[in-house]
Amino acid sequence: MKKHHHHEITRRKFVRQSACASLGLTGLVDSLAHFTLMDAAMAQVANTSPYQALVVIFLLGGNDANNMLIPERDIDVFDSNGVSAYTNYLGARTVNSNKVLCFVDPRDSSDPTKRSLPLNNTTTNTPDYKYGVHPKMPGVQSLYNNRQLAFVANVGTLCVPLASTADYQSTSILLPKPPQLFSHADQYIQWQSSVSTQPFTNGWGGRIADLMLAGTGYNPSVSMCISMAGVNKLQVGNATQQYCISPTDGVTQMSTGGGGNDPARRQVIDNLSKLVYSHLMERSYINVAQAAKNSGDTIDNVLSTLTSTQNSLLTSCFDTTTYPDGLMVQLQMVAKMMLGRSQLLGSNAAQRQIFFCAVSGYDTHQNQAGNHANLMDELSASLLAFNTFLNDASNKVGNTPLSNFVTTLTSSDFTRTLTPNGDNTDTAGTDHGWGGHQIVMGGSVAGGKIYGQYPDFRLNGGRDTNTTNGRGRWVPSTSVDQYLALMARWFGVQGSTTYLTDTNPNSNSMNMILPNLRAFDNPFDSSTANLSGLLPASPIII
Amino acid sequence: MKRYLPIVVVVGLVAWLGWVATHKAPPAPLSAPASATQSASAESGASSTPDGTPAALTTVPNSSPSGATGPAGLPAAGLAHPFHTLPARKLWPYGADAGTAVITQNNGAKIYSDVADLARQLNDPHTEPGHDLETIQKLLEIYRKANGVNPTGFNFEIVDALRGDNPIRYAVIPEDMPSLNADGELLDRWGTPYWFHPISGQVMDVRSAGPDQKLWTEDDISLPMGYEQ
Repeated sequence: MKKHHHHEITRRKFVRQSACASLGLTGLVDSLAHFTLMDAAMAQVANTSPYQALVVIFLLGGNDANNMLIPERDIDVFDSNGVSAYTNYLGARTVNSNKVLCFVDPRDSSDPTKRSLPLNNTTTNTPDYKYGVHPKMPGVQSLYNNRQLAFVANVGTLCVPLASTADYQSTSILLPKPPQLFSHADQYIQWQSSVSTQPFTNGWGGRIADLMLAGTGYNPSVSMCISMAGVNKLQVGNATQQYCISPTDGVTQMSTGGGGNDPARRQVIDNLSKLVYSHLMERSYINVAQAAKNSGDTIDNVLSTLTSTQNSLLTSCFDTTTYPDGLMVQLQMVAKMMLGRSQLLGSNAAQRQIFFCAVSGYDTHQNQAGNHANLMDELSASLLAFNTFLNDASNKVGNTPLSNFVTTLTSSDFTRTLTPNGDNTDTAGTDHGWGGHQIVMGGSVAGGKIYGQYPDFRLNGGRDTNTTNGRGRWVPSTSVDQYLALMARWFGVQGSTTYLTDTNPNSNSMNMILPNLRAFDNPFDSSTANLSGLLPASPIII
Repeated sequence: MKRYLPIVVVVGLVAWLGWVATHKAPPAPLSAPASATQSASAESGASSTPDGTPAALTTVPNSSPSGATGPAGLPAAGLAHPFHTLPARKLWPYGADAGTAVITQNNGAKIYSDVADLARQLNDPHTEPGHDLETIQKLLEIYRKANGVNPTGFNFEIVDALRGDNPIRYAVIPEDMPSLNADGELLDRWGTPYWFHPISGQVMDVRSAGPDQKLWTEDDISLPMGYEQ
């Protein structure tokens, strides 16, 4: 009897489905080209690639990146009127004399709570007082100055490049805007799908995992996509199913309601899975239950077999006493999953993992000064802890630190308005914006640099969305697609400098992962995108 | 060749949709010439715009017409998007009585007279403040029925959309709406702009600053939306 694997995906199937998914007005021509090339789908990729992981930290609610990466007095970014970004920033963020939500060059302030932490010049390794970070981010300052962390400025959802206020306000069908800008749920989804031009079908992480699965034809013991923050859109794939675990407890096994692990129920699952089912739905249902049980067992085993040395390292790196929940705990669990990667992936799978973390509370419409400071503190401390873990001598892969094989990146619904929504220092907040700055961290990151285009902070012009009553909502200069392209290429997705014209899935799978990327400047070599060099291409092309 | 038939059908469909999308009528500017609106016939319940220009009225028939004419008497030819047509009034949650007037405003947008009356109930001193928020939610719901999703952005941008600056040029706030300030923001009964919080295409949190006219204080008024970040 012929054996069916209805839930599995082959490389050929992935290419076909991706081509169909990209079938739209803008992708019509290229999709047709893909159809003609399907029969030439790529050969199965070897599973000899070294381990690599992407860790996505989603800042839920819209992080005020204007409050995270801050212009200082000597910044050399000026608007068209010759006014510096620093002057514009002070003007917009200062209400009366209260300096609401305003940080200044440390040379200008006697109040340490109002001083930005200066970032070093890449060449001189001394502060050049062009950029600083939030006073609660000494960890990020340190990582940046040690070249382990970089920023990408003014990233946001886009359908096509938009250069100015006029482009944003244009009603031309040639300049479409992402639907439902400034809306939480919609922008959350678009960031995680990376496709603002079409309704959601799957996430960029899920598509990459599909590609990896198709490359090896082997399902790992536990999904390549593991979430520390519940079900998300980013890890939705066609064949890939995200696996959600608790950042504190790992897996909650089946029980009869009183907790613990119920052997009888587990045996029932085992028995049911051995039966023969004529109906596909029945078969799929029990397959899911069996897979969940097996995955839970594997993760339980990973957690229970951590050595005392490993546990000591985890305890020393991650301060879960000061930060008993949230990102610190999530990244600690990510670290545990990395320590157990050989059990989770198995030897035949692509040695890749995509982790999803998320932190809520960033929708700071009120009380931003205090609340956002706490969030920046947590983010900075957690990133520093994670980086310390990844660079520990015990975590080397061969002679190379694990950090070289892990890239951590932030995402958020949007950034927030530059102008505050009130004049009270304690209670004021900011409202929904658009393009914002993101963090990329890892041993492979060419850190100590700000990529993309830093905004000039001019209100009612420049990149503000409005010409009157503007509050500093920046039209992004870097699209989510461009931002993610660097991560995807580093992860093994094939994307060369010729991807703009190369529609052959045999030599270019980037278009499958980021179908809208071709609408923008080439992020790999374009000087205008100012992204090249952030991350190298993976030596292993998937 | 037979196996390529579905592909050919899909490609044909997409090409047709592309043709339709690229040949749609561009939306008219909001400041349409007054003469354009005055050319329409005026019937019952005549009202005037703030500058004294008579608004153009038509009357909603007893049943929704079909064919070249859009639902509720609105001409289909002026609609900007093939997928965006005004829904039949019988599907609407508010108003929808036969005899309701369709008003063509100076900005070229159309509004049903009963919807305009609903909007004018805002800030009625004979009602509770919470009623204002319920009214705004009703107006947003009517807007969604027609446009599919909420408007988004700042207060004045949302009000612009509610006044007819949207793909189908359908207004739920009349031009002579009171409670708008010079920036085009919708004000609460204490004169403070409402705070709009776009949560999704279907959910909008709206907040009034309350009597003290300051947001994020104890006297703020809002409706629970079941949303937390």
